Amino acid sequence: MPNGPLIVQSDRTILLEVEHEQAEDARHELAVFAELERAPEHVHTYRITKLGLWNARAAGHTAAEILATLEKYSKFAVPSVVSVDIEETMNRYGRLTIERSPDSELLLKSSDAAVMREVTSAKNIAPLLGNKIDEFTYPVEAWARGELKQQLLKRGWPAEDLAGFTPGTPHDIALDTEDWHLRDYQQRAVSSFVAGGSGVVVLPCGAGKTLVGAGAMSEIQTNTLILVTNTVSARQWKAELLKRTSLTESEIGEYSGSTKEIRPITIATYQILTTKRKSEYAHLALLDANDWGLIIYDEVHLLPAPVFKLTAELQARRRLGLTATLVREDGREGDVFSLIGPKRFDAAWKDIEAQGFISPAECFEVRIDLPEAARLEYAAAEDKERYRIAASAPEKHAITKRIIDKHPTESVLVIGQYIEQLEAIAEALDAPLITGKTPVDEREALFNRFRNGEPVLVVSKVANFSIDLPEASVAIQISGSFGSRQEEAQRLGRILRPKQSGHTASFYTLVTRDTVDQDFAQNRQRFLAEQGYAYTILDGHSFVS
Amino acid sequence: MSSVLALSASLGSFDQAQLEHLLRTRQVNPTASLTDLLDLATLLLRPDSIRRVLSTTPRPELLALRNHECSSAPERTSLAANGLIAFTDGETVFFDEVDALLPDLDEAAADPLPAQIPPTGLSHVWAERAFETVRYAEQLLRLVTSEPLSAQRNQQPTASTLKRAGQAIAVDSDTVAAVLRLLLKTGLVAVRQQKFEPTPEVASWLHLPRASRYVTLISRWLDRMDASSRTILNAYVSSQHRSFAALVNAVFPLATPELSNDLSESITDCALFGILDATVLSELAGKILQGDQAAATDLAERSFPSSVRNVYLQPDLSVIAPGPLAPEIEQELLRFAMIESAGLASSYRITPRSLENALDDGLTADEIRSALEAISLTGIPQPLQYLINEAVSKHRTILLQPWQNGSLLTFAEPRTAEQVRVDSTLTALRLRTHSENELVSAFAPEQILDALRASGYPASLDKSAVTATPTTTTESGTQPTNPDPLAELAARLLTAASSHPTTNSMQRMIELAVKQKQRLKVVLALGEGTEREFTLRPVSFGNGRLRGVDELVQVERTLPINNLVSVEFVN
Repeated sequence: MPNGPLIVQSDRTILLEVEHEQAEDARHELAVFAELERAPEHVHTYRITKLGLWNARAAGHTAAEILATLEKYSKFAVPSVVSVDIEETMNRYGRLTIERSPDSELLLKSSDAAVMREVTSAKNIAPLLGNKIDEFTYPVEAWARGELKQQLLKRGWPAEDLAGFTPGTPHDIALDTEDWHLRDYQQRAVSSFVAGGSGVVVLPCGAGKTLVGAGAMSEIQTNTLILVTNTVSARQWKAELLKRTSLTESEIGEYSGSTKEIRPITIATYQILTTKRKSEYAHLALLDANDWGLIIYDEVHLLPAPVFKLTAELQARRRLGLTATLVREDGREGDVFSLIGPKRFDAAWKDIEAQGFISPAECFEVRIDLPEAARLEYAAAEDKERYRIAASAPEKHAITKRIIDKHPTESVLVIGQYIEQLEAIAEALDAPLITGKTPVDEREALFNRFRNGEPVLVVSKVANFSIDLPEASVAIQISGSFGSRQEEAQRLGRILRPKQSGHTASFYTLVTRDTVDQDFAQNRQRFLAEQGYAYTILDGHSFVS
Repeated sequence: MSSVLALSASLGSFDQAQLEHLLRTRQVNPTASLTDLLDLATLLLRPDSIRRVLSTTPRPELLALRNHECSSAPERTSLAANGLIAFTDGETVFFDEVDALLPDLDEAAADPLPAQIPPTGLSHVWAERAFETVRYAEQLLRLVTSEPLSAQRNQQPTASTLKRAGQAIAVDSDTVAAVLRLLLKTGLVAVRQQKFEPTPEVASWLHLPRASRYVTLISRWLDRMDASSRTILNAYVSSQHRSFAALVNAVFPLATPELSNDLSESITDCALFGILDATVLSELAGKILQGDQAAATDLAERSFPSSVRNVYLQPDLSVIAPGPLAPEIEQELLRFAMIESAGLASSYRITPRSLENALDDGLTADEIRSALEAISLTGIPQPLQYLINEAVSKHRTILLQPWQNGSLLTFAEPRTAEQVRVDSTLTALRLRTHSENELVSAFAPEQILDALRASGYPASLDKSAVTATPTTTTESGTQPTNPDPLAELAARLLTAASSHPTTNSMQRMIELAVKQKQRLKVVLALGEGTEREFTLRPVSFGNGRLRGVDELVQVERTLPINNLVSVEFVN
């Protein structure tokens, strides 16, 4: 047994000793089938999950290859229970396939009659199928393709979707690479997606996911619907596509609350898609308004539940999910797998940082004390009020000022959750404020001012994601959405673009000591700690003094 | 001679261990009102008791009972030990009561039971299981040491106990249940007052190297296995992959569904503990059964993954041992860290709570730092340094001690006392102000401690005050062990059998003899130290007098029981 960098545990976790000379090789091979759970400084933890194994199987890897990798790099013998589990799990993928008959009928097929009997007798699956053709074949209702995949996944029998995609209306799109080109990892992400047909690309904030989308569009050359989180993001997408591709203004439409344009390339917000009037989705027609050959889901970890439902009916179209993290606070990772598709590409944040494509960042947790009066108010308060009291501690204002003073030549974002707190701190700092109530045009103007040198911008959660602020190098988080890990990652992502100024990124979280604010902060930090970001803990009074 | 008399006579020859074994095997209720062996024999010959023991009797023994013919000494010994036959005057006595409950048995289905030590396997899957078993056992012992787990009246764990323990040591409830059975059977855990608690033996077990820990556990497990489990284990490893149900039917034709479940559980446990290697005995179990403990320990040492002596300390406050941490180092680490998962590699976490406990136990910050530096491959990260400093600065700022059947809370800062007093999460404690920096409550200090810590306050028990006052804290090692009620019953019955018969017991014998027309040899005191022996065929017994026919002279005699010195059954 080689003394390798991996320790494979019977609970399906794999530990990687980062300093080991074979660690890098092992990491690359692990990424194929194991999910990175934690990546603190010295030992990274991966987990072998069913989804991970099926992702690998979908990408053409076999159980034998995976076991060979584990045995090659393992420090101790691979537990037999893990070996057996990998073989059994991978063997499940592809035992059921969704295919198209010569006359274009969707079929659920299996070479294993027993498996077919098991799944077709399930009460959630039977209604999705037509009358049995033979013991190995059932017709699938056209509308049920997505839901069938969801249900099969839940029963542990993921179907391999071989029914193909509608090509959509062809549309010429080329990357305009006169003064830039796709980075190697972006190119690999595009290739993996195109080869897989549908699925998710996971890249850190600031690593250029929009360009991966553009790359995919240029490969597939079809009418494309891009779904994004908000209007500002939609406009950033549009600007980026105009800048990086052959597309022109007339080919790109915005479909949002304020504008309803349907063009060969249409960028719509999740919100407009899920808007209801008289209990009906008011803009469903958008999905059939054009013969889309590609649908791009930006920030797929935020995909609202109704969009999942709508997506279940869009299985004939290629789907590309883009995200910085597959962590979903609602635990619907399985729906992303079955409805958008398997993960096609993933890159660790620190790897991209090491290549210089995102800025190195230092993370600080600054602990402040509640003043005595507030401590009593906090103690006497009910649970739901406690976080607001702790997170809105007025002492955060002074510390924020001191931190800004420490970075006199940098662009600083102050990010928070509570509007009153943000208004107060914006006033104290004499800085502009963007919240959900700020009109889109005004928001864009304020963002532009910030991009052009305004030193401080105070923002609510509307700036958590999809906002490109290249020169921001300092973020001060004064409050957040409780323990949300993905919000923490997104907020750090705002300052990770490499800076022309050469500043590295500094991410401060102000936390009220011995309160739920501190508890939530610990949970929020988990994702970034797992990505290798270490938080230095500082005392607030060290700033004041 | 009647069955009751024959059986009671046979039981009279049992020693304490044999009688205890019988009482256990026959599931005699220790609280049953049994005054002597006659009572016991009567009880054992009841149909429900016979049915129960027949269900665990192997097929060859059942055939011997049915045919009234024991073909081997072990068979005879086993049947007698279980009270299914009796030896009197060198003869084997079969009981009508047993015969009546024996169905027809298919002799052809009888498999000869395999040799005592069946073949052993050569794979190493057992070693994985064995290693995990020790790790789970270690963790479960730590858990029950820190907070005893609840047991039901029948001494079984509740579902919530298993779930909670499973969450604490990161394994499923079935595995927890199995490991708990292992610890109970091997004497490392006992049930006291409906709590699973560690026994004093734990300390010495934890001083053993990991391989020896395993061998000790498994040796005891195999040694203390009940007869039917041992029989099925032997049969299982020689069963040529027959279905388990068929195997049970072949070995125990009268098995009840409950017994089948118990046997299935026993085999599952053996597989989980690495006693089985697929369907044969593990190599190590084979050595234990051959009595070669040294070879077994040597094999375990060679088969277990080698230990490591260093850990990674990470900024997220996790501690990772990149292999099994040497037991003595793990012991030291666990003074100030909590275990998160134990496997080949183990992860631990240093938390405010784990540091509070360490400081409460008398460790200093310097000692914690030194211990960490001694084992860390990577120094001490800043967040951990910060945490240690913070824990030290807060330690003993809230002290609890018993006070007037409740608790007194003393605060280093009056403002913290006020904060705790108004804390909405602590209203159930009904805290009242006693002085500027003191609160009082009717609840015990331990309850207050748990509540304060759950709400994030750095509370500690004031040990100097607590130890001066009787508390409910249990010292598992010093608690008196509960006497075994079955052992007590066995001793009582044997004492009754060996001591001078009492009037009461003689009455019981006479009544039985009358009822079963059994001849009696009685000794009558005639006064002035003289005695006379009679052999009587009893006719009746009443008003303190035995009436019977003296067979020697064919005269009916009436003897006062108060003058009888002894009564004995004769054939």
